[in-house]
Amino acid sequence: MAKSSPSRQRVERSPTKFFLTVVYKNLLRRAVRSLLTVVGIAIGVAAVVALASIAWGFQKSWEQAYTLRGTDLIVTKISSRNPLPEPFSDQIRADVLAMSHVQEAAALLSDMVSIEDSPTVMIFGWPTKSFVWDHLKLTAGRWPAGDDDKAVVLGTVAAEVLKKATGSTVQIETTEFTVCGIFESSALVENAAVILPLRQLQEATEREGRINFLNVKLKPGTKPEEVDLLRATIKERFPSYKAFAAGEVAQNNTAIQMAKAMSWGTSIIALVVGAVGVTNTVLMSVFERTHEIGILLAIGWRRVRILRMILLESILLSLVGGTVGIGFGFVTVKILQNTPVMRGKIEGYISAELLGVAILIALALGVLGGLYPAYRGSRLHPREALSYE
Amino acid sequence: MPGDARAVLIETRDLRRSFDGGRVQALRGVNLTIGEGESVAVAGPSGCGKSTLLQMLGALDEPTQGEVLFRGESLRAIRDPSLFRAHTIGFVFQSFHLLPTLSALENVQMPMVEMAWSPRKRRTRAIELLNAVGLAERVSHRPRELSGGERQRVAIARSLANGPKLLLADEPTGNLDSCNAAQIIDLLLQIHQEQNMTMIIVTHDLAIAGCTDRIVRMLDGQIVTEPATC
Repeated sequence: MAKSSPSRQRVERSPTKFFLTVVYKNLLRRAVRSLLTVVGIAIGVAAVVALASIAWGFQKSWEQAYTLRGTDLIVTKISSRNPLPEPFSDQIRADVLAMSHVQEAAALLSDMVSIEDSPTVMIFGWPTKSFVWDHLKLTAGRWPAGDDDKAVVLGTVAAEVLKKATGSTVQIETTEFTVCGIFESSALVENAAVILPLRQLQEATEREGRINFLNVKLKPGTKPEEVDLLRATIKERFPSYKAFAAGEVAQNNTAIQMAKAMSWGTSIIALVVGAVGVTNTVLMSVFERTHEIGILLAIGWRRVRILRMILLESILLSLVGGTVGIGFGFVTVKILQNTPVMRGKIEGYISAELLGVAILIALALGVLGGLYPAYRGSRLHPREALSYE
Repeated sequence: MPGDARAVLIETRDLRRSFDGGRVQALRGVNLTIGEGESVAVAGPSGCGKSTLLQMLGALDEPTQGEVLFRGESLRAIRDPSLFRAHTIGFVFQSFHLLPTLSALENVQMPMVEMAWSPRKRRTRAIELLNAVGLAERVSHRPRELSGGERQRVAIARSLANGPKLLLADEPTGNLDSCNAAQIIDLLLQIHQEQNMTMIIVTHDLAIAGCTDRIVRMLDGQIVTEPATC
């Protein structure tokens, strides 16, 4: 070794593998405690993954439904206290249809109703001769013959939930309808819905001439700036309405926003609890190892290395918990979406982005939970730590 | 050593250390000079300040007053005392102070974490050191699987891992039976002679102290005499 000078010591690079072995063995020392901490973190991360994937899945399903219908713009009331926009007069359809670049405009009424003894389902009233039907695939029976036909079609999930088949009857409010067909859609929200002619739904719910969505299909070749101009025109002519792009309406949907807010709120609580758990575990571990930290300081470990060791223990615990939690969350969603009560209502959407967020959250748990214990451990006085019993 | 031409490795100047707001005076003006390659025993009754002095010399604690100079440079000027210890000091403690979850081989490698050595070099050196202290067959054993004498041998191997300039041993035989104690002292003296490193042993056993180049006797936090040795 070169001649030592106390004030001229070089900071050396970290021997990673050996260092990781020490960290790993520290965690295994109290295997049960480490395991319980991992389980705690896993539950927190699973809650995040499950709730966020359900909220995102909800949004995704609506976006998919609009895209499949070939809708370019959706005109609706700007604000509403209800999960679905409040109904408005269908006279707006004629005005919008007269605007430049508009090819078709379908006036729709959507609602959530409880049919007979079954749980609440989505119900759509659509004009029978409209482009919005085009993407649906009939698997049994027929489509409603016209606006006067007292018939409904059921999505495959809705048929299963309502236990109905072609030829059965369903009662909506006080009116009885015949199930004339079963259809399939790529969007869960439609698969779990009941669709009937617009006029029939308006009459059954006593909302004649009222709709809550106007789906607009634009002429082919309409340029983005022309779309923007059209949106601005609608906004100017109908100040209490707004024209959303297909994806935006789902994002602005009150129900989806509530679901997302609830998922994040619950997630934050789960994470705070998780961070406290990690801090407690790592801090206990530091207290128990005070004497050993004294040994490490005595044999020349730098304070920053002690800090890194404790922080790494915390991060490792959290990452393992996070990984387990992702799997646990995924399984939870799968189980939930197949339970009779939830079937057709939720669809988990696990994206790479969500997995990335979950891992980042686990990492943040590890860092936040380990920071204080690591600081405490690294600031120990070597003489006092060595004499600690 | 008076009259010795050896270069000074470490010295203390009016070293004082008090605890409990000054009510306990552990060191009361210690002046000590130790040369390169010298072996020194610090002897005295319990509570006389021997261990406190050793902690000061090893930069484990800071003096309340006075200073410690290592090769003429004050330890107060050290930016990172841990790094100074990592490169310069080897410690042997009475209670071994091995890490219970690690094997003998891993324990010996611990001080090398701060060295820019390859994993192979660290491992090879640790095996060589365990071989040198007679534990070639016990490298994968954890401390609880070793006898007291074997644990102290691992601790000695660990203290040599960083190639220290100064070996500080605090009652290294205090927890050993007489047979093991004699072997450990022989081992320390052999290492001192072979590697020509400076060694300071704190002990209350005058027989052990007598085997070093010099005995520094302490009483009530002060050096009382430095008699000639065997």
